[in-house]
Amino acid sequence: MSSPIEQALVELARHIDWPEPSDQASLSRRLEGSPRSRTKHRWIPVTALILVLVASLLLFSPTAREAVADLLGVAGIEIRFDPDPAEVVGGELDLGEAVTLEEAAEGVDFELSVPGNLGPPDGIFLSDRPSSGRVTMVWESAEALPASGDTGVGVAYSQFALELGEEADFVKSVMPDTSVRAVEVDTAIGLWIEGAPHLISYEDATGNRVEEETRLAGNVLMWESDGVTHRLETTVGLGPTLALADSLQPVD
Amino acid sequence: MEGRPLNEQDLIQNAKSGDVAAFEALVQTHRHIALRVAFLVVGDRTEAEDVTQEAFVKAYHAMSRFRLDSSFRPWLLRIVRNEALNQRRRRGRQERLSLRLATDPVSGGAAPSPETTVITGVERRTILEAVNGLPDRFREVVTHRYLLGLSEAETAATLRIPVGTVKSRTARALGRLEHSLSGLSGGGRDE
Repeated sequence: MSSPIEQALVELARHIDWPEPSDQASLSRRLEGSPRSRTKHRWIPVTALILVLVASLLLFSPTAREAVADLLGVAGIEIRFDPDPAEVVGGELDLGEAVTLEEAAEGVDFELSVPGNLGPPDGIFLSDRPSSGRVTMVWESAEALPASGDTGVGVAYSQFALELGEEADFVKSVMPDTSVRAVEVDTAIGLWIEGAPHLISYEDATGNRVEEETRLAGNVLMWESDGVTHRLETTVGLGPTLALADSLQPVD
Repeated sequence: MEGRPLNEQDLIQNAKSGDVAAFEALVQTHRHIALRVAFLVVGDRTEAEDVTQEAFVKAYHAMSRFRLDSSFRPWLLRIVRNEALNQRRRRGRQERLSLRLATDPVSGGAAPSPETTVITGVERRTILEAVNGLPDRFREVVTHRYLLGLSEAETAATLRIPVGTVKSRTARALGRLEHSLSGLSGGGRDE
């Protein structure tokens, strides 16, 4: 049973000045003039890249071996080695604008989560990368969660809508001494990236390529759930990081 | 191919194997709503038309990746919306779309429906202004759910947000609309 306001909106729809589609003849011409095979060519480099990635992983990172099969099953995620991360990102990273929890919740298109066992975050930041918004919460170091060298931060937790284009990729660039393995987070397949600093680059739905690096020079657990990508960066091992992930609960 | 008309599943199968005519027949039924989805993002008729066509060409090339167990309309609309977002970004301007009422509101002399007798033109305009004034994330959900008539699941898929977010945001948006329209009299609001 819909409310009066819902009924009014449905009624309103019939009175909107919508654009009318023109004839479809030009679409026919464009489709006839663009054989399907073009797409295949476009995918050759991507396929080749994946093969190189797999080979590289098998060569350099034994721990990744078990993960490769699972990894390729994670939608849109690719792994590649990057020659020199410093060249790709450069400059210092900003987490965005410092905001309150309410402002953060207003600023993104999804329901925020927060770890249940860390207490309120010591800092909350909102950034427009990707364009759909990202919230990063940070916690200062605690006994069980030591800070990384110079940041004073023990945990950085980012959430953002995985708003990938249809052909977008999600690339993890790792150094040879970084290990990557697939892990199960809740019921989702996630990635655990441990070791040397690494880069993340991906394309958002507006075609914008975003690149970022590790913030704490720590380890990263990343997974996607219900269209939201979670990125939990700590200086501790997989076990305590997974425990943090398991403790996530919706804000309010 | 005489006899019964092909249903959507048949058309999808044929379109996946590169049949242009099947693909055209497939998108034919979704042209209006696709154009509206694009229009809601770019806010310009000609641009929306271009975006929709570009998105259809992309969808045609992506057909091989369309999963038969998923539903076609939200898949197509997501591509259209994505293309529209790309276009808005390329263009640089971030104009805010204001939907307008058609000058000839009721089509072709049809008898007014019961609702049109209780909602006057003035009230309609007020409601539309309230919708136009919503923050983007609320307006998007309201326009897709009620003005485009998409289901919660289709809205979620088109906007790339979880269904739970569609539900919660719809509830909050309706609350805001109720609030901003609380001065409005009549319209069956006291039913």
